[in-house]
Amino acid sequence: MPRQRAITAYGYLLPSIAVLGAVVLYPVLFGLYASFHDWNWALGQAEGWKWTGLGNYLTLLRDGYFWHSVGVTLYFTVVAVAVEFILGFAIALLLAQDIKGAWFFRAATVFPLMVSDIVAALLWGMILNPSLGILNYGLSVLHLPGPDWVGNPQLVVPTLAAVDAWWQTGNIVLILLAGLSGIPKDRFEMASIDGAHGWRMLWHITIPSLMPFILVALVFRTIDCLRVFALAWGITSGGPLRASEFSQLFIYTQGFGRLFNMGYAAAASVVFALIVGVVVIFYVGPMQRRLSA
Amino acid sequence: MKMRRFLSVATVALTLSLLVANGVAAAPLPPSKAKINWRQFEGQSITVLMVAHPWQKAVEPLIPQFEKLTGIKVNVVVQAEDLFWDRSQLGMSSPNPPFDVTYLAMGINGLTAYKNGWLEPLDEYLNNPKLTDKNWFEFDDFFPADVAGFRMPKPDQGKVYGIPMAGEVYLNFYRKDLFKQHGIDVRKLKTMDDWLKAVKSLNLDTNKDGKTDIYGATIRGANAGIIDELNAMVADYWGDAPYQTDRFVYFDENWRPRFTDPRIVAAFATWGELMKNSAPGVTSFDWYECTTQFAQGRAATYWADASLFASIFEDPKQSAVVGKVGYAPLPATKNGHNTALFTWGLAIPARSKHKGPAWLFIQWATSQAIDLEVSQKTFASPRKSTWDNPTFKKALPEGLGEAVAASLAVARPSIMYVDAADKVILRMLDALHAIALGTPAEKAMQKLQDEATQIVKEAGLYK
Repeated sequence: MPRQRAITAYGYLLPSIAVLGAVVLYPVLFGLYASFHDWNWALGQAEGWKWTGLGNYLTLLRDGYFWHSVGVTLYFTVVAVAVEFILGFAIALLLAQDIKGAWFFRAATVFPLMVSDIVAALLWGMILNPSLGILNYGLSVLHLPGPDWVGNPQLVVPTLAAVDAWWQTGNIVLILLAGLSGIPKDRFEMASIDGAHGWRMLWHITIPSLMPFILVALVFRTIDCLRVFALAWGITSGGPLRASEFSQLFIYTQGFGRLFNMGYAAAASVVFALIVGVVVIFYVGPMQRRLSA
Repeated sequence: MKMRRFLSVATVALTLSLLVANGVAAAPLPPSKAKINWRQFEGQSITVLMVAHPWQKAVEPLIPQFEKLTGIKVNVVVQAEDLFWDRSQLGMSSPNPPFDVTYLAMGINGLTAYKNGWLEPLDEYLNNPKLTDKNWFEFDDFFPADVAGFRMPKPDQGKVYGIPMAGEVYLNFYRKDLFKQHGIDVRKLKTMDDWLKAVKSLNLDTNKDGKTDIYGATIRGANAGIIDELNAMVADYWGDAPYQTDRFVYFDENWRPRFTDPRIVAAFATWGELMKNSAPGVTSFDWYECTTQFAQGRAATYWADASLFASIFEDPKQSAVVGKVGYAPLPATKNGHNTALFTWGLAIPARSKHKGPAWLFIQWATSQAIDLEVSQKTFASPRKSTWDNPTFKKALPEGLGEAVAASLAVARPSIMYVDAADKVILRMLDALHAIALGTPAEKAMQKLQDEATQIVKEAGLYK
């Protein structure tokens, strides 16, 4: 009775579909609908929507500050993901060895993941404060110069990327450790009988076997970094001179955060979601090829 | 002998009568003496949304008195200021607002709520003898400049949508001890230039390690919340020239922006100069970072900020500079001497289901008696009677009363009822950052002028 079975299956699925519809589909469609309207609370339009077609999108295309925020976000993402990946990969390789006290280092790597983003931001905001923070104090004890970490427009994004690395490298470590534990030991043994070791083993066995895990880790971290918000909101407010105004902060400021121009914020969200989608497609292509191979 | 005795008796009598008179002035009538039925909403409960703020800390312990007086249960919800802005607007927009009384900020926060019809006009409550004892409440006792921010849409003639409860006027804080040590006599600092010279001489390397430990100044530089303080500086440079009260000095009667006006350029340049003399990281300083710098003794002056921060600097639990802080009005510029003020008020969402009890709460909380008690902790009373009250004067730190009085005498409400005002403010912040990072003020202000022109044109204000 395939029909009966299908009905039962849909019956089981119904609660999940209802919940997902309410918390995902409805907000997405609502945002899309709002993006085609003038809906600016600051102008008293909270209950007076005005259809504007592509108006918000056309304004957005000409809005240099939006595109600046996209650029800043991409810059942050590239730096943060690169640092986190290199660090995470190195740490995972070390932890995969059966060294003494590995449990301690595993816990230490994963610990920052338990901190919420806003707590991490406030914590580092205090640490990085050039005159009252502990970081520059520590540097001064060592007679090293303490830079203006978040007040210098050239330094602010790398600094925030470093904070993100402190906070999130553990994610990459966890994923890669899972991958490493799944590589059959005999591959390494056979390679070593053939005279391979060190870098060659890493390059020819470890990395190819880990590839699906590496891709998953990179996709997760990239999406996460693209939607960075709390670090800038809590530490820099987007400054100095918008040098750390990430797209999410731009959207927040257009909407609830300051300007209450909800229609415009919705349009910016839609465009930004599309940008994230394009970036993800770059990953998914090779991932699928790799998995089907 | 008889004459001497008569004189001494007369002196005692006169002193006693003055004491009695003062005693009367010192104790405003308590709420229980108001001629209204406080128990008319007995059994109802209301929710009050507050910002984590000195007024909230001072009034919360008194609320049981209100509950006992009225039989109304009060639930208080406190939000950090950063989180308050959207919560208050979202709450008011709801068909069932989650609060019946809310903090309301003078300026754009209030105007946005007003424009959407979310605020209950309070004139009819003030004029209803069943709900308000006008003689006891004395609405005229509030400083008009504080009330102006809650009259909408026009600050001088609109209906009242909020009752002020914490006023802040912008003035300078300085370290008396450091000034003395370095031979700077504050009384001789007459102009802005004198003060700037003093600031530059107070970047100090106290432990001789080649690095500055105490900075000449601290000042806000972080986000759009800077506007009210910046307006104080701009008002000071603007001097006594007239302007449109609903758009501050930034736009003329035809909405043409004035950001290249030499007075406004000079004000921004001075702000930028003070940022350069602040601790590194000043572009991320909000009031919390500034008060921390100053309270920890890392800044010799703290510029153009809220008088109520005196309550932090004089609190030994929060401050390392208790008793060392001097207070001064903003220094005069060549155009005159002005500053700005900002006021928090209490308002009722138009869709609240408990407007009657909400009004009783507001009336109680902003009454002379409660204001007197609360203001001894906040130093931020919006009522004239409190500032005249001897008990209150005694509670003020030395010099604060005089500095506030001198500032209030010239303060202008920091109000910009401009469509898209916030957009302009964000560009103003960009200009400040650019100046602080080294762009010449004229260049940064020309860019701001161009952008502001574009914004008011898009808003349909400037043709």
